[in-house]
Amino acid sequence: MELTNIKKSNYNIFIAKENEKDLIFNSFSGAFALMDEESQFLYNNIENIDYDKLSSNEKKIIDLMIKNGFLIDFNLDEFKTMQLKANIKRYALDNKTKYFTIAPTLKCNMNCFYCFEKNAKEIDGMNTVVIESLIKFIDKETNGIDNLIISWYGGEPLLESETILKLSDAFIEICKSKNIHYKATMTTNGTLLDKETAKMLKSVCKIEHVQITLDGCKEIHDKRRSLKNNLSSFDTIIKNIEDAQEYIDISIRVNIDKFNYLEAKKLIDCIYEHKKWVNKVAMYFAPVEDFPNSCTSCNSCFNMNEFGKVINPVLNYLYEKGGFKSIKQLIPRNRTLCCSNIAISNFVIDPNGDLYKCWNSVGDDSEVIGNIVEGQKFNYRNIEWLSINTPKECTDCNILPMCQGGCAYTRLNNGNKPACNKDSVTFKENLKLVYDQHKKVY
Amino acid sequence: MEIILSASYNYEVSACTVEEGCTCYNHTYCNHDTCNRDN
Repeated sequence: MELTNIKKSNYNIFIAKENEKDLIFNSFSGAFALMDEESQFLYNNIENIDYDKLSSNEKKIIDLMIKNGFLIDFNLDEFKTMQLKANIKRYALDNKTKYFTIAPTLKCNMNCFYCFEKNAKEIDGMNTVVIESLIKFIDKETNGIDNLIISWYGGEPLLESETILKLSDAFIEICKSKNIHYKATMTTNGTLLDKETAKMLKSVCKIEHVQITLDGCKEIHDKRRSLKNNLSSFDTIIKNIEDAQEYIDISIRVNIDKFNYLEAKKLIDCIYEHKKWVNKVAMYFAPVEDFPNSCTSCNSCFNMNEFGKVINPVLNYLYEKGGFKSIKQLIPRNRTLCCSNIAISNFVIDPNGDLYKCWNSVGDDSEVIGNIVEGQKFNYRNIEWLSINTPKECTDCNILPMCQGGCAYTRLNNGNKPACNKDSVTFKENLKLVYDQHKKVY
Repeated sequence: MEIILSASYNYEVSACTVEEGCTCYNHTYCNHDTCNRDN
């Protein structure tokens, strides 16, 4: 083999030194390895090594580096490869899996101070005409596909549980008749997710996974996420998680900003020491984000670097408490597109049947890109969504495969500047924890 | 050289569930390759 035809991948990232060995991650292939001195020498001198003169062990090491994407074909342009894969996925009209986010209402029973939907129209429920049209729309959109995935969203979707039931029933019937695999998830505030509702969502609506937000223990959570009548929501949500976990996978999202970051460890204690939910419920932390045109949260957001400094010790603490349901939760995942909504066949549907590209903009008339009766229109906004490209600042970034430039909604509103996400500031610490776990097992 | 996670990891995840380490709230948005597979 001619090693002059091999080069180092642009996406190799040094993670940490471990007893003179290097922990190295490739963000494009997802491979993670420990390089001993022999491997480091070969890697560092790859341009000057004659493969045929290597020992069989050295050849094995080189082969392993190639197999795992640390070394690649000299002529291969990884960025172009990624762009090609992205374009195929983005503009293909024959994707076998389709995703739709449906908001059966934009009304909510809570009053969270940072809610980005506060400026949206409060559309209250779907009327019969919209429900019938939506069923026809889904019937048409599912021709020739293998998987349909619906995400219920709002407002608070469970304010319209009857509509969810009716639509789920129709979607499942359509999928059954076309031999399509059906799956659904839901983002809910959890206040209405009692035992009976959870049972119904799982058995009738085939909802497998719900996300519920807790922003701290009782006092802080209730300050940030009270009900509309200013009453506490914390105790109801905790009771509902306790009951619902028997039926549905639950992720607890904790929105972190300058007002509640000190609360994160207390919440971990509350959930994993007192409630013993470790095997039933997963938890993750996300920054409250300052979305353009919708921010109402008064300079409380961290920038990503600040978030990284605050959250990495919290992730370590969660790990120590056994708070990761699976260590796989910590493994950085790569993505072909920054978000499916820059693709041609993904939509968010509001209670009037209007189509949008992103849930951040639902209820904003200027973001409507069509409706369920006439389909999508290639209006100004849709064309913006479908043509936004990787920011030029990101083309040389070694973590590009993990974020692909970041949130497209943010970039459409900031002149397409990079919108680095939380993975960019947490992946190194997460990988150290993955290695720590690996050492314990092997 | 010890491989901790192989390059094929993404395709070894058997199901996109909390059990398998997925906490993504909406796969439309996350667009992880592990969550967006045509199988």
